[in-house]
Amino acid sequence: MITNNVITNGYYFLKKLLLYQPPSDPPPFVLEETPDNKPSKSDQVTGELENSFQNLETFLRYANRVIAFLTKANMSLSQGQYSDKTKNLKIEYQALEKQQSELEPILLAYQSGQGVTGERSLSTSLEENRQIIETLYHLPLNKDIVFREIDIASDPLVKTMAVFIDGMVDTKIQNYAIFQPLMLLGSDQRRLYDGDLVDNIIRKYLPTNQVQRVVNFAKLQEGINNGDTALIFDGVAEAILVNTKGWEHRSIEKPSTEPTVRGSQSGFTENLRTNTTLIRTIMRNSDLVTELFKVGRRSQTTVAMLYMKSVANPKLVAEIKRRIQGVCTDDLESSGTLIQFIEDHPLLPFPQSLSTERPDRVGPHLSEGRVALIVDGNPYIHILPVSFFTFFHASEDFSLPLPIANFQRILRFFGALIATVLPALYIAISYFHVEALPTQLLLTIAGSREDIPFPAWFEVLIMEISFELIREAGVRVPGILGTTIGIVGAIILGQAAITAHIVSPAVVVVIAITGLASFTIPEYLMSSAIRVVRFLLLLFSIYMGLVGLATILLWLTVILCSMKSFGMPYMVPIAPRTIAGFDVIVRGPVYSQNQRPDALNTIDQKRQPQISRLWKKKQPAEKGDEE
Amino acid sequence: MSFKNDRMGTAEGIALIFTMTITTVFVTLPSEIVEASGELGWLSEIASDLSTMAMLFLFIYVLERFPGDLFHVSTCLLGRLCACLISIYYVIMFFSVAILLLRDFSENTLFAALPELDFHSAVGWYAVSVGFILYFGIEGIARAAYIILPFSAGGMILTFVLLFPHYKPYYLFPWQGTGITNALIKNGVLVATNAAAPLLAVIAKSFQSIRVLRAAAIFGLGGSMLIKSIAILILIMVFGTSTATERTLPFFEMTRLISLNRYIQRIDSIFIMLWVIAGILGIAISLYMGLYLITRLVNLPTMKPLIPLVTLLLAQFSMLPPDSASVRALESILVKGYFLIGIYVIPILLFAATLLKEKWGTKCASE
Repeated sequence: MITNNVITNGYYFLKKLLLYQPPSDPPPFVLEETPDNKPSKSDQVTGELENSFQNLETFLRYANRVIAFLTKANMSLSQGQYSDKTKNLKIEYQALEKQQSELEPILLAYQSGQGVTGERSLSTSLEENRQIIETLYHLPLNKDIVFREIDIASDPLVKTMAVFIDGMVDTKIQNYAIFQPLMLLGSDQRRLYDGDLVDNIIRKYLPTNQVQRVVNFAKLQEGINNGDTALIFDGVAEAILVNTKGWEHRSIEKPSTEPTVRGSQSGFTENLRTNTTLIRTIMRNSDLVTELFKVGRRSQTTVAMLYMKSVANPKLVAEIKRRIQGVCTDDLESSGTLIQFIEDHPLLPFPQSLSTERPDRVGPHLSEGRVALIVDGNPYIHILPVSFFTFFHASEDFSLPLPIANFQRILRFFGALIATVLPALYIAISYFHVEALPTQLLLTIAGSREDIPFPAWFEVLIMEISFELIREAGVRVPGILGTTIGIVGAIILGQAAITAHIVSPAVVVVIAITGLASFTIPEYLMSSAIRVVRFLLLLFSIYMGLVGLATILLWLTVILCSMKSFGMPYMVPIAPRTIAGFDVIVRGPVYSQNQRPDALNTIDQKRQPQISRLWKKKQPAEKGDEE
Repeated sequence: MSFKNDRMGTAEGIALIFTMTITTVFVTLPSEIVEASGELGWLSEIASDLSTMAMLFLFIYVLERFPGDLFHVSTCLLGRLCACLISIYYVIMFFSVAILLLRDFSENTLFAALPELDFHSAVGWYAVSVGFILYFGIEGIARAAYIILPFSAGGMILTFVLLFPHYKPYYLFPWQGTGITNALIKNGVLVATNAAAPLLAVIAKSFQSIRVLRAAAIFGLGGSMLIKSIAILILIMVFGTSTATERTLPFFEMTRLISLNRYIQRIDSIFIMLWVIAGILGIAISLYMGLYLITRLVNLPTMKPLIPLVTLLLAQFSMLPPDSASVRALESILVKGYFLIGIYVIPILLFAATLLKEKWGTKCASE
């Protein structure tokens, strides 16, 4: 009829458009940030207390019932009425047993409310221990926790349970050093429960290099999380942690960010123990102390602090220890994160510790009295405290002949200076103080800028940002493509920008020299800080020319002079003046490095005797001295 | 804020006193000295500096016997009321130095570096810079001054060397200028060109020992005296007395003359950086001394809250004189009058009190 005409169709279209209709799709997931019905902290505490109170009342009733039963049993046994009452007692005992099994979950819940993760002790019941571990590791949700139950042949049989995380353990070690001896070497004639069961097992059945006895769940968890296998025995409130660590990790490779021509070619890895070993292979000295800490409430990341006990200032060691122990966070991403938690000025761009992936760089610093920090899972080791000048020293400086090493050092400082001020200086002079340029150079620059439609500061800014983009892209793009992007970006983009008259050749030269100079700084963090500073200088020189540049340079000098690296002034040995030891901007001969850095206030200040080349004072080898 | 005791050594002491006394070479003062003393202007500078050094040694004598800072020593020797008056005097003196330097360097900036910049912006820029670095304390400022010292001294010496082709030694004659007595006494000893030198006594507690103060007085003020007197000598040799007196910024104008070849010419722009840094440091150090004395006077735990307020006030004060001529007139009144009390009267007063106290054998309670 009239239902299918233009008007009705229009009406239905409008109706459909305007009137709300519930969506046919299921509602999308929305993560609520702060649900209104979230109980307040005080309500939560009250609720927890009420639960605990109810649980305790239940246990009390059960305890009263057990006492009543024991009294009754005692009376009937003392009266000698065995026949008629024993039957009743038996029934009553069975009821108590049943009630106990019913109460077990409540007991577990109560104990977990009291902090299962804390210092709660292991139970003698294997089943109860298993239940607690299952609760701790959220089983059955968690799929990589393995429980392996075995029986050790003995009189009586020793029910045993092995707990470990799949993937964290070396299965070969586990099979040969734990399961094989436990399952094959046992005998029905032996009475392992006589005496100390755990001690018997450790001494007679576990041929591994490291075992540890634990009595609480906190230690048990720590061991399991670190790749140990936990052995828990029925009837004993103790467990054994067997060292079976064996997860996959990168092997020792060449340092990727700190290559040297003459230095060592091995770099740190992500494995803490490998890293400590690499340092120990360089510093083979019983004086080298490795202290371990756990940082991160949830990640429980291991942090190692290394120092030479007879050299490092005890106050410095204590202060660093205090700072590490004072870090309270969920997880620790890397050594860089730890440093930000413990350094003196985390808001300033300048690094206050030297990060390196070269063991041959850590060794000399440790012998100078510094402290090294290793974070498990990170190949960058931080050395502290350091001075500003340390960041311009390379690991091979002392491997090269004196004139070559000093030439390279001066070049690096000069590179750092260029990388910091060159674009700002170019802008300041070409904008505000053109008279400082020789006429010929001024004319060349002016000629090259003739066709450029932008002001010089805009050119410099564009090129600086482009250079930073190329650098960042080169780092992020994987493999060989990264290098290609860098080359293609720098050459083609620069050439294209000049051809298109967007920037002048002079600006490209300035930015290219600046970029090149910034790569002469051996430390990546210092190089990054200088990049940030360069932009700051550039902005102020656009506004105020050399006045702005001078002011910001002064600000930076004052900031640097006020900074401390873990209590040590950042600009030592220049400001404040201390005994330099001839290793600041240039270095002296190796045989004249007699003192350790004065600012470190080491226990033993002397590095080598005044005359370190003792052979100079002895007679030259003569005929007959060959052997 | 870092005004903890026993932190600064000889290097910092030398840098502080050198920076505070050398800044005058970048402003009009050398021309004024030449105007007053003629060809013997360099001698006036030496006379003024040596007399200031002698007064510093009086301070050091007092501080050796009564350790502490200026406020504590004055309280101990002359009583709290006198100590307050002395402190107030020095607060005004250091703030005056800061105001004059702020005004001088702002005008220098407009004249030599940024002619299109607004005057208020120039003053504001210096004030903000000074306020910012003051937050890092005297330790950081002194160390920065020490790092910059070789560059500033070296830069000035290099300028003197590069000006060699312009030397006209006969400009130094007649060598007696306006008269030896005039140069030594009236325009030398009685002109307080180093008004900020007593800073060593003001923050004496911050230095490690009396030996440090002594070294700072000798090498800091001595080095500054050497460079300033040479600068005046060369100014006369380059321009002659009559032209030199007309120069508003004599040092800057000397650098403009440098032209060794087509590549080394007009290096005055590079020296802009030098005098900007010296100026900011000079203003900051004077301001710090004034603020330090205020915190001691009213027993404040820190000076940080005062920094923005006082910097803003001083910036406003520095903009009050209508032109450079009135600034020069004000400066002349201060250096030939008010500042002389801080340079001569107070050290002699404290020295005399020390002698009397020693004679009577009375001791001071330590802080």
